[in-house]
Amino acid sequence: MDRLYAVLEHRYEITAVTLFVIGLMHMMQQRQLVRKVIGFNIMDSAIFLLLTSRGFVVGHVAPMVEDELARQAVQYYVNPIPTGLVLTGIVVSVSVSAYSLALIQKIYREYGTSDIKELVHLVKREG
Amino acid sequence: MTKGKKKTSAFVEWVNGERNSHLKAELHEAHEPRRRIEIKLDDEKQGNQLLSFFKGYHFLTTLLCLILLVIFLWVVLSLPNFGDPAAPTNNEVSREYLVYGMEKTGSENAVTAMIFTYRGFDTLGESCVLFLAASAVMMLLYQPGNRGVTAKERLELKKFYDLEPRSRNYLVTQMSKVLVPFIMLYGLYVLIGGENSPGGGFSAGAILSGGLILYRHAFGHDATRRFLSERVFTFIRTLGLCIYAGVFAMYIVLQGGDALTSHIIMPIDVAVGMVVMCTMYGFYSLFMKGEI
Repeated sequence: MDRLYAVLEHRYEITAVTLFVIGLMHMMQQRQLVRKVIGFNIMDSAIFLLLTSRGFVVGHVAPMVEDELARQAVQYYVNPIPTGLVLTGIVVSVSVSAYSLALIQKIYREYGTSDIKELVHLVKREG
Repeated sequence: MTKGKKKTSAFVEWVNGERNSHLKAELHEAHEPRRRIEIKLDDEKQGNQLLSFFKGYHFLTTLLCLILLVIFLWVVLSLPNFGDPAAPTNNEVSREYLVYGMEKTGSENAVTAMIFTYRGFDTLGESCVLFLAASAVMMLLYQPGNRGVTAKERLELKKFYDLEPRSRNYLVTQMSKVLVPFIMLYGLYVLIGGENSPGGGFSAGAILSGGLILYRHAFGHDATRRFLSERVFTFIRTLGLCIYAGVFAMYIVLQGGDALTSHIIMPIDVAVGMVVMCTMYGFYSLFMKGEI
């Protein structure tokens, strides 16, 4: 019963790590390059979910600090730091996705395929 | 390991890079790739030798992922409970930001106060990452229609990049006429209100670029290029980065006096909004057409 309670208490974190592993498996096992990028994005979302769930405090609200509450702010507002970190993460995720998609488009135009297996054939033949 | 042709959805075909839909067929006709693959029998054998580790690879990666999952679950279950006020993450750093952030930075929004002043250097790095990503995508995909290419190549490029619909959808055009001004207005509100309410440069930039993309989709490339030509695009994103770097350098040199700190959030906010808007629109435009 204690175990079940712990699992329920950590439902967001468990979802996050499961999504992370799913994304990692996609990145390692899919042969299409676009699918690898999708796996990368799933991994990113998992990390954002983990960070934001760590910053939440039960019964507290978003950190728009009002003047008269500032002294006791700690009792009213959630932790703002993970939100800022997620912002950084989103920016990096968008940049990496765009860059890798551009590279994939280049590869596709050059070789006519984005399948790892066929690309390995080509690279091997060209030495 | 040859499977029969299975019936797959259009989305799966698109992800796989197959050319079954009419668009792909058109693209393929328009632009024959430079090197075609013809896998001969000999090659197949060699390739299979090379790829024989793929079977073991699947097994090993699955095993690795399962082990990782078990370790992660074990770690996660030993974390403090969800939403626990006494968790070690809610330490004196966040307390400092919440209690003194308003007083020291003049921003009600603790997140904005944190990312633009306390962690301002980090956010400058983020803006640089966006700027560099847009530049890198431009380097890879930039194909202006009429520079250094022969007439035939230009025709091919035009075919390849003409992903935008030739005839505009009446419904989309009419709805955009109503919606785009409100979207832009909302973007500006989020940009300027980011200091004292939820919002800020990043979200506002995303909303503004969404409005621009809708406008572009409804009225076409030429209409957008009237006010956002390549020159203006480059100017806006460079100006944004320069404003940020300049303001933040001043802030560091003057040691962040209280009078100054309460005034730097707004310019930095606007600068970040400019960079994000241009980057997002640039991604769309470069992937769509190969030019701004």
